[in-house]
Amino acid sequence: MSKKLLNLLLVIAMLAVWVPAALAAPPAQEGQDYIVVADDWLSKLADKYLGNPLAYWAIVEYTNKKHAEDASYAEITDPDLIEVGWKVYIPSAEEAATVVTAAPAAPAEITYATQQTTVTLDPAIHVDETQCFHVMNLYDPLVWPTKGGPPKPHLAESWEVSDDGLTYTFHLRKGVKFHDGTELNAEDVAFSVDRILSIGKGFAWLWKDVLDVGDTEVVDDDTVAFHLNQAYGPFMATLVQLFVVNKDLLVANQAAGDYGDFGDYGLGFLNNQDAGSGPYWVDVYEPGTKTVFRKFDDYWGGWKPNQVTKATFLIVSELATQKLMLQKGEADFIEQWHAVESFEELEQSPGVVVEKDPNVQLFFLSMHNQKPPLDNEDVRKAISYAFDYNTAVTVIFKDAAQARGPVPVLLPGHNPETMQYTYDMEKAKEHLAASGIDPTQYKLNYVYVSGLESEERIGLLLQSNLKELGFEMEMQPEPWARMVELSSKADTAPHFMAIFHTAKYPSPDGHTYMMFHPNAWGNYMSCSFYENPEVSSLLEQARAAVDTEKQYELYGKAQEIVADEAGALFIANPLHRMAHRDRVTGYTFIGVLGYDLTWYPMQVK
Amino acid sequence: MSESQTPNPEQQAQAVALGRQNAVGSYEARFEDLWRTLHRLRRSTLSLVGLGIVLGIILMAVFAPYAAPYPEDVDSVHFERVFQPPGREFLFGTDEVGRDVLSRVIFGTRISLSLGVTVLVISLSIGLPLGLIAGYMGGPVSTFIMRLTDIFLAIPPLVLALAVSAVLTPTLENSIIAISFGWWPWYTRLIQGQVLSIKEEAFVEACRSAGANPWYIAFKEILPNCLSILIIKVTLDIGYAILTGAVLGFLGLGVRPPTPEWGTMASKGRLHLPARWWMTTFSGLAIFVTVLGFNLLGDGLRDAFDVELE
Amino acid sequence: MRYRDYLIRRLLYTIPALIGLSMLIFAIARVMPGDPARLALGPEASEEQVQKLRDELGLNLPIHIQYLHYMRGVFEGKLGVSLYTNRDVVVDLIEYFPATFELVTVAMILAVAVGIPLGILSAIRQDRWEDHTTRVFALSGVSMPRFWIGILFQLILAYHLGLLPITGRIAPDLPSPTHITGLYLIDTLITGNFVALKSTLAHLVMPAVTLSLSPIAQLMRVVRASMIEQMRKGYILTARANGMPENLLVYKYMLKNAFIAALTIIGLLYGFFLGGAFVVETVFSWPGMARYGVRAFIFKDFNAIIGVVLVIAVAYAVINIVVDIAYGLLDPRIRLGAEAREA
Repeated sequence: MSKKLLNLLLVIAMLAVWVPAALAAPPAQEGQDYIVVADDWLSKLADKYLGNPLAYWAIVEYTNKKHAEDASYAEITDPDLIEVGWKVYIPSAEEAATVVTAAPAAPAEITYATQQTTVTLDPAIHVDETQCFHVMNLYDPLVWPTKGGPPKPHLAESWEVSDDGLTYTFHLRKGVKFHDGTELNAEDVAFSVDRILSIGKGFAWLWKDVLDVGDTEVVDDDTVAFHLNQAYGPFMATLVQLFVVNKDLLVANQAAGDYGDFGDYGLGFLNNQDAGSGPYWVDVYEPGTKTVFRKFDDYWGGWKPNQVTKATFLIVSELATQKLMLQKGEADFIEQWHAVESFEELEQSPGVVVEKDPNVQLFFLSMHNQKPPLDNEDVRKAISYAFDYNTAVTVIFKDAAQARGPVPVLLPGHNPETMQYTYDMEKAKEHLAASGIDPTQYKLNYVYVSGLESEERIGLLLQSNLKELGFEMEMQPEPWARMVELSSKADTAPHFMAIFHTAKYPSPDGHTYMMFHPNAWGNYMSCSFYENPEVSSLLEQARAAVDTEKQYELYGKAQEIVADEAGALFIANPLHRMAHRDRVTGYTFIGVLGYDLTWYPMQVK
Repeated sequence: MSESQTPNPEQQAQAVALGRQNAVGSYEARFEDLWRTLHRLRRSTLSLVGLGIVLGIILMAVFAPYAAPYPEDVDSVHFERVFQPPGREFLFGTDEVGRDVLSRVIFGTRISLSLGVTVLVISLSIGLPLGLIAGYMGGPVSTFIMRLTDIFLAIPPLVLALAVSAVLTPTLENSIIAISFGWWPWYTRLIQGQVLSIKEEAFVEACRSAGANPWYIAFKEILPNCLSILIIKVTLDIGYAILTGAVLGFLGLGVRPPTPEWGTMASKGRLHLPARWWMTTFSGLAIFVTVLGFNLLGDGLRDAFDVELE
Repeated sequence: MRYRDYLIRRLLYTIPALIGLSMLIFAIARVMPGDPARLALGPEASEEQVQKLRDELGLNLPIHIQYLHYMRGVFEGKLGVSLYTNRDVVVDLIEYFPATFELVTVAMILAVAVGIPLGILSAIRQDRWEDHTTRVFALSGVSMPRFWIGILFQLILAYHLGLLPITGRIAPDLPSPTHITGLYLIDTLITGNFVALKSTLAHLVMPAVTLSLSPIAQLMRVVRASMIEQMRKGYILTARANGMPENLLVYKYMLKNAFIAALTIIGLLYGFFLGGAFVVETVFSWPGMARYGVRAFIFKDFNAIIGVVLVIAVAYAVINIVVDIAYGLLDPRIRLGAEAREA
């Protein structure tokens, strides 16, 4: 009796080991001939011998190739129809790998894994990284950013600027189709601009002071003119965030809402559908799980072989899991927010490439200029001298450049004369003494993205440095959304907040005006609540200047002053790292948030 | 006996004497029982192992600054020695800011133990009195208390702890509070059940008819009988509370850096798998060994007391 | 007769408990730091926009009114909008619930299929090596943190040995199975999609095993203890003395009692499963309700938090009542003794 039970248990135990092992049968190593028997079909064979049912194309390819040389092999015209007795060639795993993706009907598909869910597909609301690249793959902007230079033509083929800098006229490309087949013209452009301004979210703040609803004029079908109400130097640069939506489609799908004749302006519709003209359209959208992009055959840019035909955006909420997936080939790209050590490990992993580009990104800690003791300039300077930049740049960020002022070194408009602090405890203590405050009276807080290891390590480093000065600092991890909220008001903002500030448009304006002008208070970049009338005036003049040189001169002066006064703690311009499988090539890092993850320029082997 | 409502001191003393004669459950008798039980404990190797582990952990917690090779690593950084693999200098390797993992694991015993013990203390302080009252008084009071426990028991304790800690800022104290939310009802239920079964026993009747004060009966006569079950449950629960605390830490709702809490350490270490495996492995191992110790001890006590928990 | 009354009373008691819980969780969620309106609108929204949204969401009303509005919404099938996915929490939960249900059910089946036999084996072979090994296994299973064991599985079985997939419910390049019930095992079986079925099974192995380890151990202990107690009881000895064959003894009397013993803790175990799902779904990126819940807790998505907690409470309550019914059916003593227990 007990023997029976024991046997039963043994059987269960064996099954428990064999079944999963059988299920995941390792692929055959050698290519081989195979005679088809009853109940075989190609994907079953592919699964059994190659471990992947979708690799049946490889069997078809190789068998047909063999047939050309040797008629004893079958010729497979229809992969769903094979006959008993046919001789087919089942290639080895390596042979199969080269064929599967090159097969004409087999799609070039890639997968990108990230933690951050995207909440909307609407280009009038997008703000963060994943929303940006959803939008950038689905829609077209007027101009496209380039690396280190001015934006290049995209939807707009050419443009002119009036002498007073108030009118920008764009000539649109002809023959651009939206995903629903209709043509794109100037009306869609004007509609898109008015829409963004009316809704007032997302990147609307870029234009809210210079453009009003109705200022965009439809000159004719292919020409649109922007009438600004003041000269705005960075205007061309900001247009990389302006995406054109399909007016007719939106108007047909608008629901009741607050925008008068336009109802809800299609907000409900665009939450999970796309109305774009970009190279991809949304096939599947499951927020929180995945998005599937498919190639838009009539894209105005045309298609070449080996371009991505299907891209899956997958939410994988653990960084550790993403890494394993990339190493195993279950994902082609993973997000950039991994620890540097992870990237080092990935560089050693077979089949993985790590792209490193100097980043047009500033990593800094805001210092709350209105919250004691940081309202005292000497205290801020003391802290700036007490921080161990070297460790931050070489150990934590590895190969990063130490920041010199707020504008990243590679962003046009960076002022190389800006002062740079160094790790000098003596000087730090001098400044602290000069400030006259007693460090033990204060408890500083450092807010950072919970789970983001680089920010946590910086915090621990800062905590240790501050201890030497006599300050006590507390680490406060928060989710990003909460950080954004805390930083929007002076009374809730922390002493220090860790911020990665990537350029959203290729101009120094984003790293100066948006950080140090009181008008920008409320957004997370400006939570230092810095106020200096001289700097404000310089920045306003810079914005008004039409000549780029003049702009850069004024922005440059502002940078010098802010650094002198230690408006914030500028730490590094980190290297931008992106890890992907080597089967994907053509990845280009441009430096504007999200644009590097557009699939169209890439190739899949 | 006399019919007076309030017992005078003489009558109370008589009641006590009577109770003691008939009682199966005086504290003195109970402690004798305990002693015998502990002797029985010696027979089981596994239980002794458990006892050893628990004592070891307590000692580590108390003498952490002496036991740990790098005691200052609890809150200092040493970027020059980040990610050292386990070796002679750092037995468990170092972590992402160069701290010795072994030292942090040792100091982690303080966090975990204080969490486990405090959760139990809170749960007992709330659960015991409520359970006694519910069991003894019966009627609407009892119903109200038991319905209250029903509310807190409507979801698994871990889920409740997660929900509560999501609201509060992540500190050790708040984690303890969050976990206690889901823990105290079990004690109320347990004690209430015990009280109900003991309530009808002869010696209690005797006390009651002698006119003894209900609180007196509760604490001196009923509670001692629950002692064995309580001890077993508390021992096991300390382990489970520590486990729950670690899970909270792992999911990101635990303590703030640089506090060396095992679950948080495991979670941080996860980012560096598979190459740098030592952070997650050793912190997880610490949790495992600790909970195992309390489990072995609790099991052993259960066998020694020869009691079946319901 | 009396048992049915007991059951009905149990049902009636559950409802106020659930309502009480909803109040508790609602209070907790609304007490949270953080302005949901500001979070929803983003950093660049102006103060008036935030206030407008607050009014729209009813956040400026006193809390008990907010609660009543919320409960009314619940009865209409609305659980409020998730900050994160921008749609009603009900829609999210419907989408994610099947994955969790499938995982928990498979884990439960696994636990029962392995735990009970092991318990029996352990009891029969008391104090022999089978007993000791299984007991050590049981103790470890109960003491090991689920996340640790899950990560170890992932590392060893998936990463180093490549036997099983690392995460997810199904291979990402396979199209999602046709949605009939949302349970992949059933849907793929019905549609005959064996490729997907295999992938689903392969993906289920590690998470289900990780989730069921501790319950296996607990079931084992309970069954073992119950059987040992039975074996000592008089009637067994008598039956044996009377010459009843061993087989009959085990299967008839002791098994039944073992099952009853197991049943007593199944309700509790279900609680373990529900709680453990949060950890297991996180480690294995399982697209279920628990992972959604963890995200809600971390991001303070208050509507999602309330929604997830309520669903779990309801599921837990339902299971417990089902268990009670089954228990009553199996053991007549309980049926009759129910009155005394409900004192």
